[in-house]
Amino acid sequence: MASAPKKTAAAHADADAKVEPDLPNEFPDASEVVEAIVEPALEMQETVRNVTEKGVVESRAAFVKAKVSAKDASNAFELSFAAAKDGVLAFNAKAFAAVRANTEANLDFVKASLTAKSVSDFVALQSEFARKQTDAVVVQFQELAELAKNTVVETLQPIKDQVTKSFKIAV
Amino acid sequence: MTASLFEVPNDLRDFAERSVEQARKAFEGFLAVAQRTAGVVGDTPGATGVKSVAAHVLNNTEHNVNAAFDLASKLVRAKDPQEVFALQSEYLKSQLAALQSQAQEFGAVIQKSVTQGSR
Repeated sequence: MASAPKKTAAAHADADAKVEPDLPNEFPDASEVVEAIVEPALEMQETVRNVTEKGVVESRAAFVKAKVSAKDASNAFELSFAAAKDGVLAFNAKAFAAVRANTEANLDFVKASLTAKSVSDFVALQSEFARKQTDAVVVQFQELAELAKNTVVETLQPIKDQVTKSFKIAV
Repeated sequence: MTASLFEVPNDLRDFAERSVEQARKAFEGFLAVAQRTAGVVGDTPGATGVKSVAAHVLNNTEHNVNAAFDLASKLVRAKDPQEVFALQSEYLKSQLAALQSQAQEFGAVIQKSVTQGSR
């Protein structure tokens, strides 16, 4: 009677050991091990790529925002110039200056893009170009709106309101 | 290896630089002529024309900035130097062509802005 419970306990212990789920009795095969090492490396590359692409996407978004604002502002020009005559020449001269400056910036970038030493070097150049152009478009359209404002005093308010509203959103 | 990705043969670089300088000079010459013409023609301008001029400035700038963005996006994903070379060549070619047509269109838009009011 005394030994019977002991045997039962030992048998239970054996049975418990066999079904113990915590012991890793299966090892990953070689390809899984390789994958585990290679994957993070690929992921890291992908992260660098994604960060770079994110930068490109973000600065593109900033430019689009400025563009939309400038477009809104230019809708106000129509109101002001409906009554204006002489202002158009001054306006066109300003537009010429803007086109010239933007074209110069673009050609400088085209040239510089050929001298880039690496992808990150190129992306830095491109980001700088985009940032400068974004700033330039904002200033150019503020100046164009200013010209419109000075030309036609009576239609000042709608332009001023529109420009203030537009560039508040963008900058 | 990253550096070699951007190695552009000297001949091509020289050619590209010459092309860019040529385009710059041509564009400046064109602008000077268009500006003179606009000054002579215009004293009875219209409103719509001015709006088109503003839109033109904006659209051109947008196009050029976007082209640079597109190139950046493609270069980031370029697999080898050949692809980089092809992308850069394509960009150079399309930008020089774009600048030419932008100059022509801008001249036309300016012309229209100053003659429209007199009709």
